[in-house]
Amino acid sequence: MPIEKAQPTSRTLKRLRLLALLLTSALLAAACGGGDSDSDSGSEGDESSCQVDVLNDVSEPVEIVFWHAMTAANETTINSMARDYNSAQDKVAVSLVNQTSYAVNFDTYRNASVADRPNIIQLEETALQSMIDSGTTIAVQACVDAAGYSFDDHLPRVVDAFTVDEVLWPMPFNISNPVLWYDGAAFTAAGLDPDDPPETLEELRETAEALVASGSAGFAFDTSASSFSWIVEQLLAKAGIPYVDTDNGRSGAATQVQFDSASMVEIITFFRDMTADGLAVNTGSNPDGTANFFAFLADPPASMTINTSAALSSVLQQLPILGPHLEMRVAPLPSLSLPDEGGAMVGGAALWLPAEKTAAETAAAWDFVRWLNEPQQQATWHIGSGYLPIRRSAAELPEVATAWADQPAYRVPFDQLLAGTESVASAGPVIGPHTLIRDELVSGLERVLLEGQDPAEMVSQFEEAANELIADYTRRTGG
Amino acid sequence: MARNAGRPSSLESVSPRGERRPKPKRSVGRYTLLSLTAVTLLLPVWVTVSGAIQPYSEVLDYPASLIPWPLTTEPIREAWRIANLDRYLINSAVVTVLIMIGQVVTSVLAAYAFTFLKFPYRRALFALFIGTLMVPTEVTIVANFQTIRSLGWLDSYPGLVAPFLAAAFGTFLLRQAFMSLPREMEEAARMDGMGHLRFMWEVVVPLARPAIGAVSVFSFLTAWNQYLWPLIVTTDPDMRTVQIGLRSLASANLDELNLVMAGTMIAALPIIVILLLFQKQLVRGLTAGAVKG
Amino acid sequence: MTGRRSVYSSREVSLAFFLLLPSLVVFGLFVFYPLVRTIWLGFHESDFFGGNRVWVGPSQYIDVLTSPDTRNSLWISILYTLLTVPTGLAAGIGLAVLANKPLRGMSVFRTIFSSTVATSVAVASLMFLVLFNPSVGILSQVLSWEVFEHPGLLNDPSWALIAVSAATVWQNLGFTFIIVTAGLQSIPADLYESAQLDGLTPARQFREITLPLLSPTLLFGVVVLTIIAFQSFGQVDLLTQGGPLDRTNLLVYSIFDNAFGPSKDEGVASVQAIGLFGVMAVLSMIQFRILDRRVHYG
Repeated sequence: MPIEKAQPTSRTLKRLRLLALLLTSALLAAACGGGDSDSDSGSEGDESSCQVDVLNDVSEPVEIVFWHAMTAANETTINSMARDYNSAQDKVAVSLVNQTSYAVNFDTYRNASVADRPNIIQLEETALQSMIDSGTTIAVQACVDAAGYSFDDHLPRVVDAFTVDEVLWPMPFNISNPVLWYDGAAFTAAGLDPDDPPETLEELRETAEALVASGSAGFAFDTSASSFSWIVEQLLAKAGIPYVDTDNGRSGAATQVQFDSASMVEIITFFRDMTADGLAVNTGSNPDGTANFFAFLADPPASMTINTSAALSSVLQQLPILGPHLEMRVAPLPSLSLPDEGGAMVGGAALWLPAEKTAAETAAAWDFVRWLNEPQQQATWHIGSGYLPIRRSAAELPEVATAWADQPAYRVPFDQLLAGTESVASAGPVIGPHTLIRDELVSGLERVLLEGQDPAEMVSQFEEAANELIADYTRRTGG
Repeated sequence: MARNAGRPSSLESVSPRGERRPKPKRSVGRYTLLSLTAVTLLLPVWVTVSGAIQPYSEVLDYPASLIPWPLTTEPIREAWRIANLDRYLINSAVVTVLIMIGQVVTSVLAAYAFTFLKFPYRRALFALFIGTLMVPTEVTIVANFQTIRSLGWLDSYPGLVAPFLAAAFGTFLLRQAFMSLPREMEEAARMDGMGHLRFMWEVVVPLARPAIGAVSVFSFLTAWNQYLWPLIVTTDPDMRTVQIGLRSLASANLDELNLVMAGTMIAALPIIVILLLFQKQLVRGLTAGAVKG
Repeated sequence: MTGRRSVYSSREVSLAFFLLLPSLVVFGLFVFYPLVRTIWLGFHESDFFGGNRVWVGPSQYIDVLTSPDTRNSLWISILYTLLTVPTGLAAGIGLAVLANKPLRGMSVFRTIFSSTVATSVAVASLMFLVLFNPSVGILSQVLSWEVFEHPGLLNDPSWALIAVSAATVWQNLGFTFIIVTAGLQSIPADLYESAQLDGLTPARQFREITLPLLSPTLLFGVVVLTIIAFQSFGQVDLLTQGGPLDRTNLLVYSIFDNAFGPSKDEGVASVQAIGLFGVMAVLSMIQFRILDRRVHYG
């Protein structure tokens, strides 16, 4: 290179030192920058900061964001309800963000910065303990108290489900129940009475045998955590068996699982034998067990499945196009061999109000979730989705009566939720690592179905793993 | 830059030299084999496209048919309507172009310094650059996510773009290209009293255009196909890139797979068109290092 | 370039500083700093929201790196590499040799063979998701082979990884086809001419000329495809979410799941990420040696 100066100057050296300094400080910052501002979890939940009155004084609509996880017909319905709400009043403008599933919604929430958190988030019951411990939300109880709101008209089990230590944390909204779905036409073809669906797992097996004998594939089930593990919890709740200790996690943090091992073995063995004997189709892991419905359209078609009632509108809307030959009906969840001493617990989700929002935003969020709980809204929601009307007066509205007369399937999950006995079992378990335990259960099921593990061995392995997850959770949350 | 005899400048020009025209009998066999292979290779594409242009009831009908009938544009219109695909495509385009420009600019600057300038620790710094190849995004996602979050850059173009504004691979390729330029040019430029910046802009960059083209297309393709990072730093549907948009479309509509197929088709089309246009540069970028020069 | 004496022009040094600065800032902020921070995070445990971070010390490195989950993920990643790299290259060679004749219309076939380079991991994976789907999938209905029926390939512990690998091989095929074709082009044609004069059969020509002279290209392909394999994530995210029974839980998916999924365990994810860094460091050093030797423009 032609042009060169002879000596490095002191300026050069300075620059180099600066460069070195920059790089080193970047590296050092990594080690020292430990005290994070980027992630936080407060120490305690804040129960006392809901000023519902501030909304009276706003001059412009308060803009709030609602993260939900509704898809298909349910998404269409929630969108139109939000539009109705926005046009019906001028204090609040809610905008919806579809996070596509509860799991994604919860993960996204936990990863988001405080500022990015929405004003309302829809999470399933599994998030209860974890959300309370996070200290990132306002207990809805604060708004309930401030507004003098009454739950007298609500179904008790719905409110119990989201209440821990007499504090209601999220606002109930979309409540579902698992039901037995079956094709009445296939029943008739197999010489079975479509008005007399199986009521126990044993009868379910006998029915499947008759169906298979007449060319059906029998019963369809999946191995998805959000569907299968939930149904197992429901079967146990219906028999009155709590899932974890400390009164199903409601009188203190759960320390270990405490379901009746024999009943769990009965359930797992049932699914294994059904599959092995060619009476059931395993559709594998798929979101919310949606593939079970498609198994009704396969060749040979499945004719029964257990799935959430929340799919009612989506399935009934698609049926005339995709499966006009099917006569889809629903019946209550079958029982274990034990007597029903509990009741089906609520499924579905509730609406949380994240903390660290302005008073006006919190009041606006409360106003929207309160509105969604009004009888008229619950009726609209019920008919447009298949989720239950969660208060009695909603179920008494004429449009609900018409819908039920028109399509009796809608009534089944509602009656199921009123049946049985209120107990800690029917209120449902409260477990910190609830979703992880659900994942663990389907892993166990897969070991049994696909690798031939013995159900009893699987259940004891599952118990051990679940207890370890609870211990990990307790340690990591500083308990 | 000297023409590289061994390097194909495009797929079209890839043709072996010195072989006589094969006998017709053998070429019939080869055509058959070629066609069968092509059909097999395109089967997933065909299934997707045919699913996207017929009613869902037909897709679900047993037994399945490989001929889509009756035809409908309904799934495509529906996917376009519900999936926000236009927004995703715009986001992807913005992010990809920003990353591409950023990488080319920083790589040209750095490669120039490494090639034409003398400064202390040059070798060490160059090794440091190359060392970043050992640390792919996957290794640093946890910490980088926290950085972006504390900067308040989640759900923003800066958050999607910033970590990728420099590229060791691009710097490396451009340095190789710059080093191959004739020495005399530099001397002539000095004689004319040309400064470094002018020399870079007026001589080096135009002469290294093929290499810059290769780096551009390569970084375009990588940026467009990014999956993990945009998945982590976007939660707002308005900020998702097309890859992540497809993921949401798929997870929300597993019960309507024909919409997923339609969305997949729409998402794939623009990039196929762009790559057909820039085939030459793409081949050059991908084969850099594959062939002895 | 020029002499090795350490004489620097201050103008050149400061210009170099400014030219390198943009890259250095980006690398500093998004490569070196996070690398150190990841190591640091590996010594910590936090709650399920990423808060309340406490020091747990080096034991976490030992625990996580020897845990069944990490070992499984590493093993799955290796299996996946073995399933995708040799098959991918072999398919690439097959296609390239097949298309390496000056026939009419060959450019159409070349374009088709290289076309999958334009498919992203999301596009390719969703195509295969549909293909493998037991309800609507063509495979389950046209080939009535039991593994394609419910619960389907993607839910079958012995087939899921193979299915994911198939999607990967397909997606990478365009790339392997392009590099092998380029490799074939660099083989001097007169070698084949003299081989033909010597009466070598095409099979022997392939074995004795094509393969040996293609070896640098193949070596490059092996390294790049291995790096791609160890970085793979999207296929698993879209097709199997790591299941069934963790049989497709690739290392990067495991890191992602631990860091951002339900267990939200940043410490564990960080340790695994450092493990991945070890693997990548070795692979990149090999890659760089090859690059350094082979890339010459001009």
